[in-house]
Amino acid sequence: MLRLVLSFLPPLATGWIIVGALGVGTSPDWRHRLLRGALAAGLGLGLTSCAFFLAMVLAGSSLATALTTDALLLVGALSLRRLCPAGSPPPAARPAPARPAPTWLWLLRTSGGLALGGALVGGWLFGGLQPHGAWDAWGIWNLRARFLFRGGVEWRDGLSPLVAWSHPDYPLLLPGLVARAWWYTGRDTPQAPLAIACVFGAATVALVFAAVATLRNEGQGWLAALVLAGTPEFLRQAMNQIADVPLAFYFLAALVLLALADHAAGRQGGLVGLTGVALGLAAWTKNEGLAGALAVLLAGLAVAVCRGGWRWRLPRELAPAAVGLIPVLLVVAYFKLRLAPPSEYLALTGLARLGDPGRYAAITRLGVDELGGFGGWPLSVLAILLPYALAMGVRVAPAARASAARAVLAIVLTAAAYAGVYLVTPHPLEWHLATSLSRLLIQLWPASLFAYFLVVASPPLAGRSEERSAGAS
Amino acid sequence: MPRLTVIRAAVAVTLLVALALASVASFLVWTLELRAAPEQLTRPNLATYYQARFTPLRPLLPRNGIVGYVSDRPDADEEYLLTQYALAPLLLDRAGLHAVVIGNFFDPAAAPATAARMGLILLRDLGEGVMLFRGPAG
Repeated sequence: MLRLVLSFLPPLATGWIIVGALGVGTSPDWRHRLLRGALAAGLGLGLTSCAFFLAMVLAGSSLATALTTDALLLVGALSLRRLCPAGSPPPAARPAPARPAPTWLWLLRTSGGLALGGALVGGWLFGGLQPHGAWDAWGIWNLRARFLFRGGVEWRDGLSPLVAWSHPDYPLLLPGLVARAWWYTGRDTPQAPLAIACVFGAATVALVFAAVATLRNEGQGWLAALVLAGTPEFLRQAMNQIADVPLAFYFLAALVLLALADHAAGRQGGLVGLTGVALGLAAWTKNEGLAGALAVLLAGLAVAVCRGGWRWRLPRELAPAAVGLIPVLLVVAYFKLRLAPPSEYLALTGLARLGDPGRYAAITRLGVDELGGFGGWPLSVLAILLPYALAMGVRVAPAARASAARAVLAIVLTAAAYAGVYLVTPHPLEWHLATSLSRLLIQLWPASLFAYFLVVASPPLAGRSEERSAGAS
Repeated sequence: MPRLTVIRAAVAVTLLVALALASVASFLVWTLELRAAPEQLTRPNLATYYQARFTPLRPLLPRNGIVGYVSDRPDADEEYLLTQYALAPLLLDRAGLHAVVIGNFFDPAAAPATAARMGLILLRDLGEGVMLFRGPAG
């Protein structure tokens, strides 16, 4: 157990240093610290997986490979901190209000604490019921991790056509992390993928809370966290040890980082660079991550054009994203082009299915059905959130308009890309929808809640709402 | 701030929080019920069962490479995948001829007939339908 805990320390430290060096959470405000911690967990683990993969290609899979890459990443992170001026002097943060928190905020804190505690206990108990995870976990992700760990120098056997049913074209973020943790523990204990699943689930809830609390106010942050932690389907998918919640984390992280960049005064470069890293890691998590990354970039482009002055704004706002994105994309490209078999969805024969109107109708019908019962709430969660928005009203601070528009557009574009894959899928459509749609919706759910609570008015219960326009310094 | 607006917001927030807490509570209760009766899981925990079944076979097998796979129910895909998961990084081939062949039998009594038909020689019977054969390529 101690070795398993130790395996998380290098990625967390690396992530903490990199995220801080590039401008997140250097102020003493606890919300900013939590934001930094959540981003550090996901980005640190993702970067560690990328580096471990590259080292495996060069030197095979071993404990020495894992330790060496961890040490090199940590040295790289420390060098980045020395190079980046944004990390050194903490910019002036808005001082926290000295007045005591109102009663309603304490009630929200208590409710939030209860919900998070219940979700954590329930999630852990559920995870313990299936130590090897759900079908996709043992059939895809943990199976591949076993090839990486048990295979040693022969780890490429895990990409053999003999296991074509296990999608060997899927990228290796999660299997790499699990295999690396197993090298630390010395054996392939099921606790390692369970712990990784738990960290990604908790980091996603923490990120939603901290981002909304930073960009709006603490009460709104608690509401966002309550709704996410109160979504049983999210908890189940998180503890199923599959890659959908890690992907949801990176998609959310990219949108949060861009929103923080909208609010940052003169330090956007680092935040947009981290956005690029998050998008690259989304592509390193699942094939859908590539569609999500493209959608976020297109949405960012569209919002920049609409804001005007795009000739000077684009290079300044989007060029740093390329600096973060391209190195990770090169890793993904190397894996896809040199090691992995081609994706089954890339067959051109699938394009003929685009002309079948019945497929559009089926996707729409089943999509609406799934949305109606989405999340596993006692009532339809959409039937809860829609009236809530009507009761509270919509209130978007001018500084948050671009963030909200970008997030909504990115979610819509990603959903459209998913619908496009269903249109051309070589599998029976109804089976494919029935076995994957709820997971795809979970991928977009945390980002959707972030956008929702960015737009919906926060409770005016203290007499006036406490809106913020603070960045994440 | 109009009083009606505050009341409306208070009701909306209270309902949202109450529903979220009810949702977490229902998930917690469902999980505790499953722990009390794990057979209610939609897909029983076969991965753990297959781990236990095939662990004694692993020391008898090569560390890497391809071995054959045979079963009295060749159409049972999930059981084949579970065996592959249990024995990775070995690759299990259901089609080719191999020197080492693993048997996964639902009905162990069906093994001799299957082995005779495929020209397999039984090396070890580890119980619960798990067998090790020498194949025709051996």
